[in-house]
Amino acid sequence: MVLSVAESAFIYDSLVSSHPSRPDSRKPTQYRPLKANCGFLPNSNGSSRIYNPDGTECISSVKAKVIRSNNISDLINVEINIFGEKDNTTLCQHLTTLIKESLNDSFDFNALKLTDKYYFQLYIDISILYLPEDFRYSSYTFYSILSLISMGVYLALKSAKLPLLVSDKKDFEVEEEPTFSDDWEVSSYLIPRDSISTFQPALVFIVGIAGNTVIIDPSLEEEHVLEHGVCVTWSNSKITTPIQSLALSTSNNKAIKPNLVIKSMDLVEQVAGDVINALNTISEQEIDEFDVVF
Amino acid sequence: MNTVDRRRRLGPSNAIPLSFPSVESNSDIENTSVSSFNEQKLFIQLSNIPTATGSSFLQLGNNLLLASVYGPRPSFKRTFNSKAVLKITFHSSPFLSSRQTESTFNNNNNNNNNNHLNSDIDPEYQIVNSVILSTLETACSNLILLDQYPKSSIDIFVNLINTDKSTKFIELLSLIHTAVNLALIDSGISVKNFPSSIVSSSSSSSSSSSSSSSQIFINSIHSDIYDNDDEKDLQNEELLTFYIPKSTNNNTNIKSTLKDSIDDAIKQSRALRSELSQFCYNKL
Repeated sequence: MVLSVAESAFIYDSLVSSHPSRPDSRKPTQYRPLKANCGFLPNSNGSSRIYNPDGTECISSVKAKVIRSNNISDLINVEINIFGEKDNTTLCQHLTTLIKESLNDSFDFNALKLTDKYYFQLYIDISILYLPEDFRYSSYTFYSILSLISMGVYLALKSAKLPLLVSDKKDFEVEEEPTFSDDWEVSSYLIPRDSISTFQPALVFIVGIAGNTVIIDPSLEEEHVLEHGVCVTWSNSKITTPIQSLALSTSNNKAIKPNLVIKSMDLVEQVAGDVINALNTISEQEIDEFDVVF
Repeated sequence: MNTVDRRRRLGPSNAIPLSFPSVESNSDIENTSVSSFNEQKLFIQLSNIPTATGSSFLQLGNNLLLASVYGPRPSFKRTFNSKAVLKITFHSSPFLSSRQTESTFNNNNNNNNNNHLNSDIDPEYQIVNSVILSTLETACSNLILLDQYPKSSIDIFVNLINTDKSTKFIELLSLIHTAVNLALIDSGISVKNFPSSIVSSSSSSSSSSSSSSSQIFINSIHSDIYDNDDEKDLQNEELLTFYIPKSTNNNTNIKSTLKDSIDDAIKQSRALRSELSQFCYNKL
């Protein structure tokens, strides 16, 4: 979005004032409305579609493959495809790295363990279908979509189902490949839903900083005037790594005061519980016909 | 050597064969240099590339780095840029056989062979290009007064010539930032303040610093405001960029220790900065 000097100065001043007000009159902890659906791709184990009111849309799919390996670092593969961007740009690679790191950090790999020898390997494919035209040819870096991507991955993982193993679990001595039941009715969720002790995949939050104000989920207008961005990862009800500073746009960059890093983490701690609850509710809605989604 | 060397494959009769000194075993190197990473001597050479506006060469142990800054050069794009466009390229030498640089993109698309090669590397030691580039972009765009150079572009090249297995990725990251910072200072391009970057490990048990604690990388400058009280003055530091990688100890709450580790990092960063600025001052 191209803002005039006066416009951006107005937005900036209202953000950094002692009673910060955002252009769309949200609270600092408030998200823009999001729409999301789960489990609509028939060919993948889990999937999600999530979109912002500004039109940014993200489709994620989780596919599982059986491999014979005990190398845990291989088990999660992430690929991000952004419409109109080459795959080898810093942006794509860095988003991939951040998502992969956050998942590897939080994942309970026992959920992927199939038998003594075999594991499920997850392929997470993420596609950003549309970015607003304002993003292009402007000072925006795309890092703010990380939050959307991460929510999409969370939903896809929560909705992922794995087939029931019918062969023996203890196959260490036996030379046989695992076999599965054909019946998808007996399949189980990758991340079990009933018990409280199960792990949650990581969520990455993007926090914008201007002056002494920290805001969650910055909109396009806000990103234009923000001085700094911070990505904070949240998993299993605490803040984890990776935590990193990111420039959300190049128009008004400034360095960040150390106490604001702490402040942005406080903000994430405030909102994270609600976001997780909301996402869990979405993922537990059953979709019978995939027409409903579109 | 009883056989007659008729074809002179071994060279002239009085030739002495090349002999390489045997490489020391890995475990010894790791133990010594991990603990003494911060105490090692840093070798710096500035303006070693005559065609570049500014350049720096760094050596710390086996780590060799070359950073160069070109510009501000006129940009002949059709669109009007009210401020300079930054372009940063990171290149690691192809013969860095001891470490593999990770390219996430290739890794994903590739078959298992590549994965198996990468798998035996501890993630703490793996060089992740995307993290290097994104932190460099953030730091430089926050540091350089880009407004002063409209319709121009500034190119920064970083070349990692050598490294070794005992240097953690995050330590390498701070070295890379130091090299870029010095090259920028050398170039005379307007920057906000003298930057310095450091890796600080906040460890509850500092004796085994490599194994226990969470680390934080910061690249920071002093803000325009100064305070006579040293403790209060810590708040006047501004972070150009920071990065907290995966900690070895998952149980600690990062947030509780973060305040102290940032303060600690800022103190170290200032100590380094005073030395670096002294060095640059002497060069004038």
